[in-house]
Amino acid sequence: MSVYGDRRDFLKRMAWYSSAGAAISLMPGVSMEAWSDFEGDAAEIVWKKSPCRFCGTGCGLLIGLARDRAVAVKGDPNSPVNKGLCCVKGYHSVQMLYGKDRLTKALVRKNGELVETPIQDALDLVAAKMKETIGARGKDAVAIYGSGQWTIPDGYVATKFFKAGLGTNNIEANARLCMASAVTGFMTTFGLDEPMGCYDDIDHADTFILWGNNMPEMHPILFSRALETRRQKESGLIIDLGTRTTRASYGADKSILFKPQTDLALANAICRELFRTGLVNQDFVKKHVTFKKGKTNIGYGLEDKFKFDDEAVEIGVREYQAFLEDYTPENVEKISGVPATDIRYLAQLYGDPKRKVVSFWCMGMNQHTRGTWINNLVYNLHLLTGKISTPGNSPFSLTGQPSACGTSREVGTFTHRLPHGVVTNEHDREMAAKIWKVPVEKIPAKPTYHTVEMFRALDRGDIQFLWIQATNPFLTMPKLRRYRDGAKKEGRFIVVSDVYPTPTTDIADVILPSALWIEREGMFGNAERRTQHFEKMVDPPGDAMPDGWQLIEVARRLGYGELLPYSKKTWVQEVWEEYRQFQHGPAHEMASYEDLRRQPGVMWPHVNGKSTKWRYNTAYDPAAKGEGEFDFYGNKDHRAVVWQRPYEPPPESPDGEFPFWLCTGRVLEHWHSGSLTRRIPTLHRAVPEAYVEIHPADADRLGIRNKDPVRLTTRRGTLTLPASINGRAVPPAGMVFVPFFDERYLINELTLDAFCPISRQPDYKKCSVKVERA
Amino acid sequence: MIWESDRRIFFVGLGIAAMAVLVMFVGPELFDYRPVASRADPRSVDLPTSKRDVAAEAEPMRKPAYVVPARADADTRTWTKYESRRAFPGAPPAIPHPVSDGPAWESGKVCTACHARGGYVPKYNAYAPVTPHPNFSSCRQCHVPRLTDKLFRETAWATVARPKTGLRAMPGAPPAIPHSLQMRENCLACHSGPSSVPAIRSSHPDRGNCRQCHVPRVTDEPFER
Ligand code: SF4
Repeated sequence: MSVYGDRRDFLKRMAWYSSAGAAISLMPGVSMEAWSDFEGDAAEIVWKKSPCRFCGTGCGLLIGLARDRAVAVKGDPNSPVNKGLCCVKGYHSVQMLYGKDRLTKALVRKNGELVETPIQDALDLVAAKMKETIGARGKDAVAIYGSGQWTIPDGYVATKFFKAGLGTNNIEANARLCMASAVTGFMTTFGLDEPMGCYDDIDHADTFILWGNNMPEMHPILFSRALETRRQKESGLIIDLGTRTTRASYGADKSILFKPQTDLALANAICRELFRTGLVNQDFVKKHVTFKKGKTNIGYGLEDKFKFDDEAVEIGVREYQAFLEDYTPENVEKISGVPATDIRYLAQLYGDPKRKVVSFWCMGMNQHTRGTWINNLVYNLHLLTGKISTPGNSPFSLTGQPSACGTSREVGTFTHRLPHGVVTNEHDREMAAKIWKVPVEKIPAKPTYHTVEMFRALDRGDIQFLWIQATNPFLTMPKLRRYRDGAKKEGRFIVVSDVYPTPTTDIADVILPSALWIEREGMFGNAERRTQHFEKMVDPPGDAMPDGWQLIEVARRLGYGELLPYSKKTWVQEVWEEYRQFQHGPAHEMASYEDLRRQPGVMWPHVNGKSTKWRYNTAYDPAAKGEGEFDFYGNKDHRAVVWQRPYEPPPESPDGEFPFWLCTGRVLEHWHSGSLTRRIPTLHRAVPEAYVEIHPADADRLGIRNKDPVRLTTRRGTLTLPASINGRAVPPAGMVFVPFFDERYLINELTLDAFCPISRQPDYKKCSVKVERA
Repeated sequence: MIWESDRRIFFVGLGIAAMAVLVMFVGPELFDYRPVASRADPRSVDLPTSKRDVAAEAEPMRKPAYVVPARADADTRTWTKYESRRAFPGAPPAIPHPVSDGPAWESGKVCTACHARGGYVPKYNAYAPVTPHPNFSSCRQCHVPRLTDKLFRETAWATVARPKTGLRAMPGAPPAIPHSLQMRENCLACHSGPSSVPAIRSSHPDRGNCRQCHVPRVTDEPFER
C-alpha cells in the first residue's frame, strides 16, 4: 500500500477514479461552458448552514462552498423554518457577494473627492472627528444609525460603545422604520416584545387572515407553508385583507379591499360582532384580560421635537362595549368600503370555536400613523376569542429584516433601550452597569432622538457627526429631500459602513468597507424568536471588516479598550456570552454558543436545552406559572390588555389638488433599497426598474398606457416613472403604488414623514399625490 | 426528528462507502491520480424529509412513463440552454418565455397547465419541461422571468461545473445520482420525455423504481471501522 500512501488516501482516490473515468467516456462532446468558470464537480462542494441574509422569515440555507468561494445555495432540510425550500432571493443570495463594485478600501472625502485611504488611517480619522465633535458640542452631538441587518454582536457592541462608553443615548436603527409599531403593540398589550407563537402555528391552523400583508412576495416561504396547510385541510382558508390587489389576493380564497387607514374601524367592527353574536370567549376574558383605553387625537409627529406620552386608563367591559357600538358593520362599510356581510363573515371566522386562526401582518399595519393601535386591535380579536398562545391560534407579527428581532429589538439598539429593559428604569440601568463594569451614572437615563427626530436633529445641527452602518437612509427616509439636504449641510460629518456604493455613501465623508454576511461570523434573530448562527465561510474582499469590529477599532482609539476587550478572533463568541447574561432567566434565556453552532436555529426562551414554542401557555413556557392554562406574565397583573382604540383619519388624504393615494412597498425580487438584490443578476433581470402601478380605469381617464411616463407630485416632490397597468398587482381606482428599491426613482422624496406618536414609526403607505401623464 | 434524517444519510453513506471498497479491485494504474479537493458534506444529497417528498419520489412508480414519440423537428433542450437559465447547478431556472400579467399568471395557476405534465407547445415549437415538484404551487416565488440581459452592475460571480454524469463503479454498473435530490425527487421529470436534455434521458423510463438501482453519491470518504 505504501506506493499509494496510506489506505485512506488510496480509497479516496479509488472513489474519484470511478467517477472521473466514467464521466469522460460517457459524455463526449458535451459543452461544459456556461458553468465551467471553475473546474469542479458538485461533489466537491462543501455545504455550511446559515440563515438567509434577506427577509425576517429567517430561512435556513445551506451555502455551497468550493475553492474559497460561495458557489451555490439550497434550502436546509433540517431547518424547521423552510424545511428545504427557499424563495428566489434566498437561492441567489450568494451572488450578492460578487458585484464588481464591492467597496474594498476605505474612502475619505478630500476636496470633494472620495480618495482611497489605508483603513487604519480612515479609522483614525473617524475617531479624531468623534473626539473633536464631542469636545466642541458635547456627547449628544454624535450619533449612530444602525440596522436590523446588523448581526447581534454588531448591535451589542454599538450599544455598549455609545451608551456605556461615550455616554449618549444617540443610537437608533432602521428597524424603527419597520418594526417599532409591532414592538409598542406587543409592549402595550402583553408587556413583553415579540410573538407568543411560532411558524409551527401554520401547520396547526386552518384559517389565515392577512392584514395588509402581501405574503407571497414578502414572506414567500411562510405563504407556501400556508398553501400547503390549506391543501391538506378541508377547512383550510386564506383571507386577504388589503388596500390593493396583489399576489396574496390571487392566492387567497377571498380578497377583501378596504380603504387606507380604515383597518382600525374594521377591527373594531369585528370585535363588536363578536360580542353581538356571543362568540366572545367569556371564560378566557374573565381570567386573562383587562380592558384599557388611552389618549385620543394623538397627532402625527409632523413638527420637529414633537412629544407624546400615552396614558392608560382601566375601563370596564361595559364601557368598552358601549364604545364599540359606533362600529356597526353598516357604519364601517361606509368608511371602509368593506361590505357589512364581509365584516360579519370575518367575525364568524375569528369566533368559530372550531377554527384555528392565525393573523399575519407586517408593514401594512406597522407603517401606519396609528400603528400601535392597529396592532392592539388585532390582538383584541385573538384575546376576545381566546385564540392565542396555543398551537394554531396566533396573532403573528412578521418582520422584514433578518435580525430586526434578534439585534434591534432584543439587543435594543434604540435610544430608549438597553439589552434588558429601558434606560429610564433604574434597575435596568444597574443591571447594564454591572455587566458592562461601568459606574451606573455613566449610562444616561434620558432617551434622546428616535430615528425621524435624529435626522431632524442632524438637519438642525444638534447632531454633527453621524455614523451609518448596514443601511441606506438616503434612499429610505420619508420626506427624503429634507433629511438628505440636512446631512449635506456645512459642518456635518457622515461616516458610512457598507458593502456597495449607494445614495447614502454618495454623500459620506468617510466610507468604510464592510464584511458582508458569511464573510464574517455572526448571529441573526428571526420573527419567531429563533436565533441562528453562521460562521465565516469566505474571506471579505480587500480591507473590508465586520461592522462591529470597525466600532471596536474606533472605540479603542478613543480610550474604551477596556470596555470592549475582545479578541479579533473570538469576539463574536465573547460578545454572545456577555450578552446572554442580560437575557438570563426563564422568560428570555438564550441558547449557549455551542448550541447555536450545532443547531439550525434555537428559539428563546431556551431553558434546559429546550426551545419554547408557545409563550404564556403554562404547558409550554417555562416562565408561565399558575393553575390556569395561560399566564401573561409580561404585565404586573398577569393579564393581557384589550385596548379601546378608535378610528382616526390619516394626516393627509386625497383632496382636490392631490386626488390619489400613494402607497409604497417592496416586490418579491428586491429587498429594501435594492443595493444587494440589484447586484444579483437573476433578480435584477426579473425586475430591472421601478414603476408606478395604476388602476386601468384611472389610466384610461388620464390617457396613460402601459409603460408611459407618469408624473407623480406630492407636497414634497415630483417624480416621473413608467406606468404599470394590470401588472403584478393592481391598486384600486384612486390609488397608485410604487416600489422603493430603485435608486433612480427616489419615491421617498414624495412620501410624508408622519409617524405613529407611540412607536414613532413613519407611515410609508399613505399620502396624497397628483398623477399625470408626463 | 431533525437528527433522524441524518442517521438515514449515515446509513446510505455506509452503503456507498461499501461500493467504494468494491471498486478497489478494478486496478488503480488505469487512471491518473487526481486529488479530491474537499470532502462532500453528507447534506449535499438529501433524503426525503417529509411524506410529501416520498410521494414525489414514488411518482414514477405509480405512473410508468413511456417514451413519447416526439416531433423530430421540435426544439430540443441542450445543455447550453439548460445551463443558461440557472445561476448555478441546482438553482431554480428562470422563466425563458414571456409571461403575461394577471391573476392566473401571478399566482402560478397558469404554469401548471403546461409544466405539470409537459406536452408540445406549438408557439415555441418545443416540449414543456415537467416540474419535478408539482406539489409546490407558488411557482413565481422561485421562478422569475428575465426582462433584460443587462446587469445593474458588473458581477464577478462564478460557480462550479455541473455534476459529472456516469458515475459508474465498474463497466455496466448503474450510474450513481450525482446531484442533490432536494426538489427533484421525481426523477422522470428531467430524465425522460421529449423535454429532457437528450444526454441525460433514461433509456428505460418505464422501469419506474429508479432508485432501486441508482443511488446518490453522498460522500467520497471510504468506509472506516
Ligand atoms: S423567504 Fe425570506 S428568508 Fe426565506 S429565502 Fe426568501 S428572502 Fe430568504
